[in-house]
Amino acid sequence: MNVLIAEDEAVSRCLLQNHLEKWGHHVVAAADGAEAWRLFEGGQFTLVVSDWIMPEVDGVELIRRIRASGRPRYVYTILLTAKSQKGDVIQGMEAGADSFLTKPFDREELRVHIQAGERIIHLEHTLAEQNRALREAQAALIQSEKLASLGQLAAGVAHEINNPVAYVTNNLAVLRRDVTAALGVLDAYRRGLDDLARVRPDLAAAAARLEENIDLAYVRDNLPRLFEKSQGGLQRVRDIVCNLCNFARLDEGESKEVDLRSAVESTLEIIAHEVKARGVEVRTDFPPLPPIVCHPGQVNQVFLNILMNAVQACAPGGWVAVRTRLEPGDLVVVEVEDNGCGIRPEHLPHLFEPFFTTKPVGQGTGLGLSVSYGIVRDHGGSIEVESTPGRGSVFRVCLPRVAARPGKDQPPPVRGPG
Amino acid sequence: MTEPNRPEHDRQANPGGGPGARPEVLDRAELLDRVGGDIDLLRKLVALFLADCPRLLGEIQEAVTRADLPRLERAAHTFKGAVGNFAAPAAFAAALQLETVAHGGDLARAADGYAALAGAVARLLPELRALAGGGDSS
Repeated sequence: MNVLIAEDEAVSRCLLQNHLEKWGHHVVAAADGAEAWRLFEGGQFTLVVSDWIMPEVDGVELIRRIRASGRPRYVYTILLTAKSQKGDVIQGMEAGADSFLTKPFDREELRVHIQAGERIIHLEHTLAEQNRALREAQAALIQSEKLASLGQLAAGVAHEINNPVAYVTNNLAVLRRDVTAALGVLDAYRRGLDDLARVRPDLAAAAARLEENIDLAYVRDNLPRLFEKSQGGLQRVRDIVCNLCNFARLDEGESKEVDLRSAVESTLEIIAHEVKARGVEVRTDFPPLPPIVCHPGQVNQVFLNILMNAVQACAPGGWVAVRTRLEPGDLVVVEVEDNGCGIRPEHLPHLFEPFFTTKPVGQGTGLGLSVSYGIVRDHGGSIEVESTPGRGSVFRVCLPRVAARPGKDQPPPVRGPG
Repeated sequence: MTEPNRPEHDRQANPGGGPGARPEVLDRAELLDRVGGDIDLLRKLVALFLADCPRLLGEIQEAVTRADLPRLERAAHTFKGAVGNFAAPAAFAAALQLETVAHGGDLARAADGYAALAGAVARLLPELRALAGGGDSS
């Protein structure tokens, strides 16, 4: 612990410092209360041992200031003084002292008081940690609820859109065929225009006016393009719906054969807006792969987490490369490389721990990679990471073609390695 | 944690610490126990005390001369705190007595109290010097 001593009498100060250092504490000693307060303001102390009677700032005033300082962590304070009457104890404790020790102090008594302080500091620390974890778990829960309802919404919308899109697509094809046929009929009639002009000049003139009104030549030219563009637009709507369905996969609780390439492509579509907003280039290298047996929704979640992290690690103008390949032993590998900020070496061992995040508070729950780790592990696969700070990172997801133990109907485990 | 050296052991191992160590002047066993048998620490504490002692006593003397009771109480209190670390019952009691006299506003007894304290300290200092200087830490 970092201990601050405030004692104006040299012999006691020396003795205190000596004992505390022997017990393994880091000690800073002040020769009066004012100096102690200056040191406290500029340092990080968890325990303060102070004499009461000192010139200028006395021990009680020092403790009062410490309590009023509003430090985020608790500071345990021990008043050490020759005063020993009951009233003094009350005054000291009222000011915020945690315990009281009378001088000349007994070494063992001091030791157990320090120990009591350590216990309180430790408890406070644990409590603060638990509070933080609770808040993050709550945020993660809200986040996953949000994702789940988003998935449900997407699936519902997809279903609603699919029906009209299907008959519009169908009708458009019929319309194209029929209009083309009708144009053929029109052409046949137009070949008899000269004869018509002789027999019924009024009718021929009316037809010519109508042709001119609608600019028949342009219409004839434009109609195929119109049909093509409409069909292209419908195809785009179908793709979007398909991506949404692929991603949400709410209808597929069981494992099934999946083409990882299309899974990754669907995921890239989902985050396309983020990629564009950040000005990141996505490079893909997807040779044909055999399908693998997995839980598509869960595996998509893994790619979403890893791809999103890669994109967010990049500075504007950066790139993310996604490669797939088949490795010996029937392993399918998806590699996501970025030239972003990289991961500091001291963070690497904690990467897959739940609640570990380097993102600012409120932006990362610290659950993405730990959930991904659990999913890949349950599929009998592994995630490997290589990273150089300032240069970028590579995440390699290896999945067996047939999962060793596809966790069925299990929630994704939230556990890190080891 | 290692057990601090027992006082008896220290006495046997360190018999030449000075003649006639009367426990009311200096309780060596108690003092050695307080510093956990650490002779180096003891030397350091004694050196600090010897360096500070004339100033502390001078402060008390001046307070008595000027009949400044609050100042006397504070000075006696500080001296008591310092001497309290040395297991020196007589000097400690004299300092406490002086502090009590000053607190009670009994100026008449202050001069006597100071004389008693000065005497106790005069008896204590050679003991401390002998223990710290002559004490063989091996």
